Amino acid sequence: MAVMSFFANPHRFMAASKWPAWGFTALGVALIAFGVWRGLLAPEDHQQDERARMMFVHVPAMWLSLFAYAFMVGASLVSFVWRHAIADVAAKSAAPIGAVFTAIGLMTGSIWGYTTWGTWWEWGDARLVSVLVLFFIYLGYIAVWQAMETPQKAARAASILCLVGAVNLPIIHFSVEWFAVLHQQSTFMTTDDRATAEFKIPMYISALGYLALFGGLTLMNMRAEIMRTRAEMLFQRRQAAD
Amino acid sequence: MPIVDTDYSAYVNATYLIAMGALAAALAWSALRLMRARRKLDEAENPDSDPSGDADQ
Repeated sequence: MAVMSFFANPHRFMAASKWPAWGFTALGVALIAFGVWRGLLAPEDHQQDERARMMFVHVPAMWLSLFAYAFMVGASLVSFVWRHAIADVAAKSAAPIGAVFTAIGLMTGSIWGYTTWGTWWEWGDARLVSVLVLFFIYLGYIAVWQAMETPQKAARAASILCLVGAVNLPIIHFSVEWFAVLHQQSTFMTTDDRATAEFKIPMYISALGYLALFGGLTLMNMRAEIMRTRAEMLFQRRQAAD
Repeated sequence: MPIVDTDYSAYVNATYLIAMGALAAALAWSALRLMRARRKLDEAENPDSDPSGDADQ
């Protein structure tokens, strides 16, 4: 709570976030590059052969698409309950990054699905459709911010949309257990996790890279948003004074 | 009998290209947005330093 109060002040946030924004981004790029390199060198899987290498880009993107949305839900909740100045900015800034991760997950998953199931898309698959719904929720959230008359109204409406959309997260996660789907069940971080280090290491390195990049890009967008808001306020003040 | 294509390297490479391209685009977009916001804030804080006087609002 003390940290939350500390960062409610945009000046403090701007002072504290400058180097982390670039640091996390650089760390993310380095880890992703290392993960990609290790991923492309990973041995062929006994069932999925070289197609298994797609998971090093597909799975972390999907993990981060869910993580980014969960982050937005948390920020929206803080914004909704405490009217925290930075929480709105955090949720708004994370949305485009989360949408990019979801788009990566959908596109790479479609290619992987084609090579495994023989189809680019299957409307009857609850995992695929629920992730597509997540992508549309991201787009809807971004559109709400653009469509409303004032930032206050936009923040309120976007928070509500984000909180309602949270119902999709457990559906995505459990869809492979609740419904008969083409998509396989979770492999990593389960009680039945039999993946070897040759697969786990590039996977976790890539996931950490995606996470660091998400942090860095979200901070960058938050800083841009705060600067833009302050600039607009100063322009309006000057116009009012003239 | 249908010929089954078992060379998946093009598909694997395509997923890596898509992912890296999208992440690079997100990074470039964020950096550009930050630079534009910085320039706009500088113009707002120092209006006299903009000789053209056409601050982007």
